[in-house]
Amino acid sequence: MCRAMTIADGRHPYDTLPDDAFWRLAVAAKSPFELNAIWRPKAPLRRDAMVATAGSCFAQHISRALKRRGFGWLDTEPAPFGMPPDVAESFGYGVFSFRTGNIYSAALLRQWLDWAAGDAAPSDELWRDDDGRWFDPFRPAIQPGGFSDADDVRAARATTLRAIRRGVSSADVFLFTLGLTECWQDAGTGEVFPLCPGVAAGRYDAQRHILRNFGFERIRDDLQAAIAVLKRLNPSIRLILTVSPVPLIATVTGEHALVANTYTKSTLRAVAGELAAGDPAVDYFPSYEMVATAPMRGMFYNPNMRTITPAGVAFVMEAFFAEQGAAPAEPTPSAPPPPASPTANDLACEEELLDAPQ
Amino acid sequence: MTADLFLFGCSHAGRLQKGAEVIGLRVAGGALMRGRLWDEDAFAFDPSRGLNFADPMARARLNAALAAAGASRLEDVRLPIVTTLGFQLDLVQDEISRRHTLARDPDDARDFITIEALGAIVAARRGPLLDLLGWLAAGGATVVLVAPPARHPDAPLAAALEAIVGREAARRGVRVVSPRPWSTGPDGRLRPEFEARKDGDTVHGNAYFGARAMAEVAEALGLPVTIPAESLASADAFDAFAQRSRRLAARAFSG
Repeated sequence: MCRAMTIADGRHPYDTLPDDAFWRLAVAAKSPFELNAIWRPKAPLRRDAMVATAGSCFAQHISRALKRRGFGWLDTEPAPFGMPPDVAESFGYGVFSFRTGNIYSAALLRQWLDWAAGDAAPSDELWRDDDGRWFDPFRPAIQPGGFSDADDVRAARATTLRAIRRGVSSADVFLFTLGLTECWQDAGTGEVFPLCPGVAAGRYDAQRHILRNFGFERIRDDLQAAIAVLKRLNPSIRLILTVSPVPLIATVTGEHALVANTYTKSTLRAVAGELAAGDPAVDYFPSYEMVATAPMRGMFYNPNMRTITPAGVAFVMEAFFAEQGAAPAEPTPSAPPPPASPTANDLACEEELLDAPQ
Repeated sequence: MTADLFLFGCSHAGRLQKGAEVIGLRVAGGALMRGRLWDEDAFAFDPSRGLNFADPMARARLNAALAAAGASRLEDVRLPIVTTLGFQLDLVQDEISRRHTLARDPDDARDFITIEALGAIVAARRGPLLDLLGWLAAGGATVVLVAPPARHPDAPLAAALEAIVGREAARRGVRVVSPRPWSTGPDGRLRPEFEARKDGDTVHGNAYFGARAMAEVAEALGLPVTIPAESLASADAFDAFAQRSRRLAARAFSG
């Protein structure tokens, strides 16, 4: 086969490749900080583009960076007036473009979009705790302490579904960060949850709540279906997929967490790559590679080897904006910035609830 | 004059003061500054330092009120303290209701907001004021918080915010008097007989409103009033009583 690819004059396709196609020149001979053009966007983000973000915890870094750089980050479900930012975040406002909470899996993204587009009726399931507080199973941490009334849960969800429709319809770019392959599903309805029932709210029922560790095909199908809904609501929308470099916090597969995480991220990365390769409207931004791969030597992880340091986030976002044409630099703050969180735990990340007791 | 109570607060306190005078309550203090200024970091409260105003006018008014009550600091006032502070949510209501609603109405284009989210807003916006009142109550003062007249077009939102402020005040040991049950019409707004129509004022209640509210305060505090109950039964009866009182006062002054 290699012989067949040989060019007649003795040269071959590798002869004409740029330096960054060669591991030695592009990676091994360079400091990680000298890696350049690691991302070549299919289309630069226009300065006036409106970007909607959703997904796992890491997506929040992207939305924050977009805001700081003066790009148009869509917030179609903004916090009520008078609510301080930290309180708003605890209510899920301003974290993603809509108040869905974390969307760790492609199946959950598809489910939210199907509900928002009217392709499926929103679930009837609500959870009530022993104190009579109500929770939305599909975003159980969205309201601290839960809702006082079941109808409030429904009304709040209807608002979010409307915000999703509004956001998708008006976005130029939908940026989704893939987080997990493991997902909990209701065996009866097929509905998927962001967290195992019983973790943030609800009660776990082993007969009913089934662990799914989705593989390549299912994730690809879910994402393709989600993309189809996005395009139907907004034919000109572009997508940027990323894979979160934040490892899973726990696995129920029986595998070692390291092995399970490798499966998770490899699968998500492969799906994102295939979709980006096959659809001109879909792009892949390599945030995972810029943090989690061997050349980075783990230097962007906090000592817990899971959360990303502020320097790591800055490194990734610098690369994101470096290829965006006339993207402005981060504005110089007029006042000293607040101290960076050493663990980046200021993100709203429901998966943290799974962490093992120390 | 020995005062029956110490009054301080926003412009609504001025109407309470007028009403109190007609019903025979002797008041030290009054309105210190406009309600919307309480939204703008115009005051600082620290339990170790007490209350301080950035605005020299408000500071001067507070000092004058304290002098009339025979005290040099708010925490030294030995009279029952009546205040309107904590309810200055007009601006917040206006802004919230532009985009959010408590109504679970799918046809309402506004976003649904929960009572809990409103509670979080009140805690953030009115927490320091309510902490001030709670601090006074914890120091031994009897503190009564009087709600302003209902005026906001989004009546359910206004009622919910008032209920939250009242609940939070009560939690801090503050008594709450709400004129809402008797002063609010079916549309959720102030009944016409309590409106201050003069100069197109759509924010404050009239002296009748102030008198009714202060009569409730007096009852809560066990203070005697000089107005007969029938004179508080209607705006006309109240106006007649007030005119009679003014004539008597003028005659006494001229004599």
